[in-house]
Amino acid sequence: MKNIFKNKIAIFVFIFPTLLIYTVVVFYPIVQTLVKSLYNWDGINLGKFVGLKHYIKLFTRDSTFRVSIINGIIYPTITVLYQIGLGTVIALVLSSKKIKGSRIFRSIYFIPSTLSTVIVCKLWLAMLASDQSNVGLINRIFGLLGINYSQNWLSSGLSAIIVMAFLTAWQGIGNTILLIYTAIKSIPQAYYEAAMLDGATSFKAHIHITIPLLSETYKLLLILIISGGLRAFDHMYIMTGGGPGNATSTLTYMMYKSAYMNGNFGYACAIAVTLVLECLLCTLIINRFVARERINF
Amino acid sequence: MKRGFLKTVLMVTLSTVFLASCSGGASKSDDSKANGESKQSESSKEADNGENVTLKLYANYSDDQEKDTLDRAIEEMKKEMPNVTVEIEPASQDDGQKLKTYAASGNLPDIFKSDGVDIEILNKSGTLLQLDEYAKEAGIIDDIADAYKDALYMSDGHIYAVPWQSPWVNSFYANKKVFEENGVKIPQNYDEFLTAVKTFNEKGVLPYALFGKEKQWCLHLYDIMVTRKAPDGIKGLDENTAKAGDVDYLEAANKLIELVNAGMLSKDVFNTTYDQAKALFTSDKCAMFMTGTWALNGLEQEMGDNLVLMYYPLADAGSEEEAKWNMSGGYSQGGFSVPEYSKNKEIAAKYAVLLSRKVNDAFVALEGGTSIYKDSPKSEKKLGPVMSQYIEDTKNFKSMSKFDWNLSNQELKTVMEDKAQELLTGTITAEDFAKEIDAAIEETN
Repeated sequence: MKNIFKNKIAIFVFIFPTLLIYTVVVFYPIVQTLVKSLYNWDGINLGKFVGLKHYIKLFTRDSTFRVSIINGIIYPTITVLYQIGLGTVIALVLSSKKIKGSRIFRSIYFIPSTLSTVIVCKLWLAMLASDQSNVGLINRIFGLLGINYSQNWLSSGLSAIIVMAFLTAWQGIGNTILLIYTAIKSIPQAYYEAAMLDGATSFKAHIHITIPLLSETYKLLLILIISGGLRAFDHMYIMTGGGPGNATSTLTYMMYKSAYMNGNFGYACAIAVTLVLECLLCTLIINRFVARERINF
Repeated sequence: MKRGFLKTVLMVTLSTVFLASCSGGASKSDDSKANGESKQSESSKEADNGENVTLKLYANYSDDQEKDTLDRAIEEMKKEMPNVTVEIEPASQDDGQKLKTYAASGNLPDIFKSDGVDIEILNKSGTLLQLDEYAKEAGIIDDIADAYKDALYMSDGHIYAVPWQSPWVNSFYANKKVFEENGVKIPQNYDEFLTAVKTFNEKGVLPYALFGKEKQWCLHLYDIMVTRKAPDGIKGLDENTAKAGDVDYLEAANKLIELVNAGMLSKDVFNTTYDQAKALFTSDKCAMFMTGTWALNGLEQEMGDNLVLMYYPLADAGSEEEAKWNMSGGYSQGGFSVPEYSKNKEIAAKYAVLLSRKVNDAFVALEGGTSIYKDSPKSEKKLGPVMSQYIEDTKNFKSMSKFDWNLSNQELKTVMEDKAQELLTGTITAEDFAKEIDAAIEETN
């Protein structure tokens, strides 16, 4: 083994193909995106160098950018709270030995994750319908319960973004439950037995043992859910087209519109660079503050 | 030592990729130029020898009507250019993305349909072959109806595509049965329209089906309202000859807000697709509908006598006749184009020019549309009274604005679409709407 590490040709043979693929498929496009963000480029012609013009417009004059950034905060916040909060509770309940048929419930909770986004969006569009000629399930339930809360859920920016974040979380919670449930199952039972001997209740045991020991799983989930939320596109594309107006726009949707509808690929690249930086910043913050020490059982 | 070696490997990899990309970019244009020259001579040789040539044709070829029309046109072309065979690639409904990708990679088919903004972008890149001489030789310039001559030439005064069909316009339709059952008069002007909206609302009938999920139709509605007083409509904004803050434009926005607040549109308007809106209208669940006149024939077949074509009953009372023929919609440059670097560009250009005329003739004969040429073939199709009336009416059209997809300022178009949809929520004022659009006009010009 030591000989292999000393053999530079062997190292080169093993590293080079992977490094080349990574460079061509990941690194090079990122650099190209950065370079093209400094150009007025329509995707066909060569483009004209404009320096930081796109970034200046983006940060100072583009009202859609401001809306997208705000939506980029609301959307992941709701998905994180729903998926991790509710996901933890459900996973804890399912992991309890007192619960019968937990396997069936695990499958049921996982069903939305197996559906395609298009189906989920169409399903929820039908359930959220609010026109008098076609009242959807949600508004119908409010009507039946006599609660005056029926409304057009997708007509205003805030309610639309909340609804879409909710259904993203609804669709993704199966995966979250699965990850948390698996992590709970990997915690040695001895910790709980010791806690019980010291007189701890199940609730206290979960608060002081389970939750802290899930920190690495939470870190992974936070990175996945937040970066997924920042990159949200498909729900907006299918359900609202970024509207009404641009009220449900996100950076990814802006990027799509700029490139494929306006033919302004240079500006789209500037948005892409901003999105990458935003995702990197969130990842760095999570890495800095969550589960800094590795847990070994 | 180990670290130094890894650094070297990394540097070699990165340098290779960057050098490869730089050299690739530089040689592409040279190659295409060189190829263009050599291919031109090959093409000329083939033409001279009368050899069999196969051309790739990228055209609308998806639904039955498109297939029948193109098949008939190609059949006719066999009489004109028997040595040419075409391989059809059906055009994708993807906002021109496939075409742009072909253009970016230098792989445009020999003949392709180009329209809207795509043709402007492609022309900027020098990709399109100038068709002036070919069109002249084929008699297109002499034979095209005067009203449509402008559609031939692009802003630089040259022909890069030959259109194959007459311009369509946006149109309002009324469901006679719904109006009669609810005792509402089919409106002729804005006041009557507003009254109809209010009455239908009170009776629990949806007054107007708009497929607002497609933002361009929100903008078309605004355009229709504007063209009652300012005939250029959104074309004026696109060409920077008008401002959204102008009196007529502001009045149009205010009237739309009034109609929305009166309950003109469904609560789910922004999630409504074309199929849903059409189904509401044709199944007597809604009183009025808007789409382009390309759908007129189909609607008439489906609804028969219940279909009424209305010429935008949104003008002020007393000025209905004055505004009646200010049409919303219209033509843009577009048709069949040929890339400069086509291997068979001479033959492709001749074929494209002639084919566009054959498609026009086939469409008129099979579908009964209006011809863009002075001598139009007779329609083989028995047309309904509404369609026949429309064809007669086209002679009265006084002015045309533009369809959303034909606007040349893409960034402004997107802002206008967003804001028009927002306007129809009734949550912004006409002044704010105008301010945002005028800011975009300034920003993008």
